[in-house]
Amino acid sequence: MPWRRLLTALLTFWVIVTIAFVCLYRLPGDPARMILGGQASAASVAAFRHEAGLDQPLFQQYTHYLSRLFRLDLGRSFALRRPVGEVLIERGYYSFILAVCAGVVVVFLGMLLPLLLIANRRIRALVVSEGVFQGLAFVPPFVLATAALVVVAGWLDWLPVIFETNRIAAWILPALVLSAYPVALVLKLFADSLRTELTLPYARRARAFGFSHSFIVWKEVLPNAVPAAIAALVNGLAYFVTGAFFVEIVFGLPGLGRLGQEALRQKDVALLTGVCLAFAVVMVLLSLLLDLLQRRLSPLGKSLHDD
Amino acid sequence: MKNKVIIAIVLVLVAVGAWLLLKKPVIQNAQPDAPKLSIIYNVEELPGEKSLVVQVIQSQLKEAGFEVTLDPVPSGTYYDRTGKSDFDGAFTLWYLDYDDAEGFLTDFYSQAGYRLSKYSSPQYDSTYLAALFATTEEEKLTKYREAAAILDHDLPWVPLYSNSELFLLRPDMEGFKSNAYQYYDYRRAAVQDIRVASDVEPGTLDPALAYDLASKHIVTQSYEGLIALDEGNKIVPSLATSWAFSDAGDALTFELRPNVRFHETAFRKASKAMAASDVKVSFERLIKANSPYSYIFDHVVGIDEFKNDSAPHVTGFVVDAPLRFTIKLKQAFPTMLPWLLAPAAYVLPAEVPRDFDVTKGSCGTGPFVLTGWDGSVARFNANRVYWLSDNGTHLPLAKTLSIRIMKDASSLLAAYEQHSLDILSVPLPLFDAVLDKDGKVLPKWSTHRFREVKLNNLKFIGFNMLSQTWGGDPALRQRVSDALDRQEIVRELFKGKARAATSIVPSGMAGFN
Repeated sequence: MPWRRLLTALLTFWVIVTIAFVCLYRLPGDPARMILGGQASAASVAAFRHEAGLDQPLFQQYTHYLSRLFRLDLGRSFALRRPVGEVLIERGYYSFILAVCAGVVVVFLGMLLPLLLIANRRIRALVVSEGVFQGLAFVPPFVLATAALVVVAGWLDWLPVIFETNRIAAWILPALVLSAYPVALVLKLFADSLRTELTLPYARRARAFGFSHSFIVWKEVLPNAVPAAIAALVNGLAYFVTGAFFVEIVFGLPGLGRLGQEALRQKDVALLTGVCLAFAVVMVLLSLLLDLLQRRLSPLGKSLHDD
Repeated sequence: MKNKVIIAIVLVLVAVGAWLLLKKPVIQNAQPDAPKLSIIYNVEELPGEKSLVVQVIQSQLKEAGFEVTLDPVPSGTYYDRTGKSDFDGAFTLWYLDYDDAEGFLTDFYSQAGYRLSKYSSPQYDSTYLAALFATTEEEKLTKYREAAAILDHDLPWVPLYSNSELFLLRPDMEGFKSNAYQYYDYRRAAVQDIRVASDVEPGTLDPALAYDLASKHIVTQSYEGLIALDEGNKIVPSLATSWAFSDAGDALTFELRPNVRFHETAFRKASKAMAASDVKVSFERLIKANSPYSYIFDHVVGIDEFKNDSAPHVTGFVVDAPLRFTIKLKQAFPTMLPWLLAPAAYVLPAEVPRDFDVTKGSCGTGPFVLTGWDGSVARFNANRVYWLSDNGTHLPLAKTLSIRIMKDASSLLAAYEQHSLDILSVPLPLFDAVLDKDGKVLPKWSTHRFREVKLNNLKFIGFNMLSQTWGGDPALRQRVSDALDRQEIVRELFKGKARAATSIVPSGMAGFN
């Protein structure tokens, strides 16, 4: 079982590296020209290509990259002139903080909010909040981020427009925008599963025995509804990976998403592949986490999931 | 019955829609012989300004009977297609680091390293070379004007306009200076922390490779050259206190400023004084760094031997004394001096390691020491041992400087309004928020300072001279040029904050007033 998972993960990484390589080389534009600029002479462009190894055949560059990757060496970014691994750690730190902040928002708004509303029978408030978050989730993240920045930070002047890593207030808006879609997803699934559970015979029986509504929700229904919520949560976290690209670019947050965009702009193969791999590692770890959690939390225990 | 009515209505609507879509617009003054013109432009460079201007160009040319299609592309595609001459016309800009018309004329010299239009004319080549190696300033300018006249007749580039750079500044930012070549000088800005923004991504923070305006903005804060351009575009002393050409014009000697110290950096904890040997190594480093500027030493004695690795040093770079440096030239070449203004020719300590990380710190002599670049902000601390002072007041006056990349015009304005930026460099899309229709600053900003700097740049349509249609027919290019109402662009789009261009060389450059 773990071997099969590892094999799948390796296969995923290989596919990502291959796609990144082929795509970048299919895109128009010479990386050397992108870095040296329009007015550089043909001679200096050629010299740069040679130094960066860009003059070798594509297949050779590809096999060279793979063999280095096997030794866990991500290579050097020729635009930044630094080891890719080092840059990934430096910039990944900011993306991680952003993901944690957004994750906290998802847990509060996507899980705690519906739980409290249902436990207190605030059904109308629940429907309204579901509607609001669904609405926000339908707005494309790029538009949502720009609108949030212009309205909340610009017009209303509630939060800083400029992103400073050391200012806590500056993290609020990016985290909220990034969490909009996962909140809607988790909120909907969790509320649905709570509502369904409440109609099941065991909940009705508890009610007939005279247990209070909030007791039933917290003690009886919640444990059964949690696995669905966790699955939704982990899926929501996976969305952070794509969402980060838009949110970081709009807010000027120096994380992995922005790094990926810079790498794409300069056709920095090693760096872009590194960013893609970093995201892939996160995804693989998340799906592993999902499996483990579901096994632990499922009331039916391991037997259902073991194959 | 009801259904049939609905179907009939839908059918009528579809028919009307199709007719509206397929109906060809009637073009006034249509000239059936005018070929289609596709205009390519790079959307990653000045996107706000370009997208507005090309639309005006398109409609002006349409009125004259040209069918114009717009072709906005990302940088990669732009460089690829212009490099392969796969375009009709390109809407782009040209800017320099120095006040010498040579910079606008080089693209048309048939032996130049990079050429957009791939124009070639033996008559032009000989005029250009005569200017380049002229021994007197008078002769040089005469030849420059002749060369410009040839181009303005042949029109490989149709000049459009030169714009002004507009700044809104907080009242205490009075000390900020900039010039027609976009060197930004924050040394006399009297605030604790200077916070500014740039709307372009820097390509690199390595002075040897810096060519775009954002890279230059960042690099010029930490690094300096032998000479500099002041607010009035005059060459002034920087790391050199004086300089002189030999009588024959084939040697240029610099007296260096004593007690100039390099920043303390990772590879050398104690700061070190600058000497002539550092200048020599820096120049040799530039040549070996595949810099886009490596051509600037092409006329130095011994350059070819150094480039093909048959000599360890450039024999024409001579350290005469610890603080005297001479450049020996193959022949009289007065343009050597302005070429040294390029950030690529800035001075670094001789022992800078090859893998020095330019994003983690700086090792130059400039007024601000880079403390880090995180992909969106460059942060600096004041250089406390900077060589310049004003009547005993040590410069720079500020304690820190941050230069932030912000590409979205509305966030830029919001950040300035929120007091998060001290200077707003006003891009074209924000003109309406700052100026009234006559170009006067809106009353809303009356407590702010306003600066307008006329830039010596050129926005133009460059034709592909290798194309049969557009390159082969000067009369056609002339018709395009005549069809463009530059005054309308200046008046309507720029509210008067630009100059209509009538020549390849912007009016306002040395010798072209």
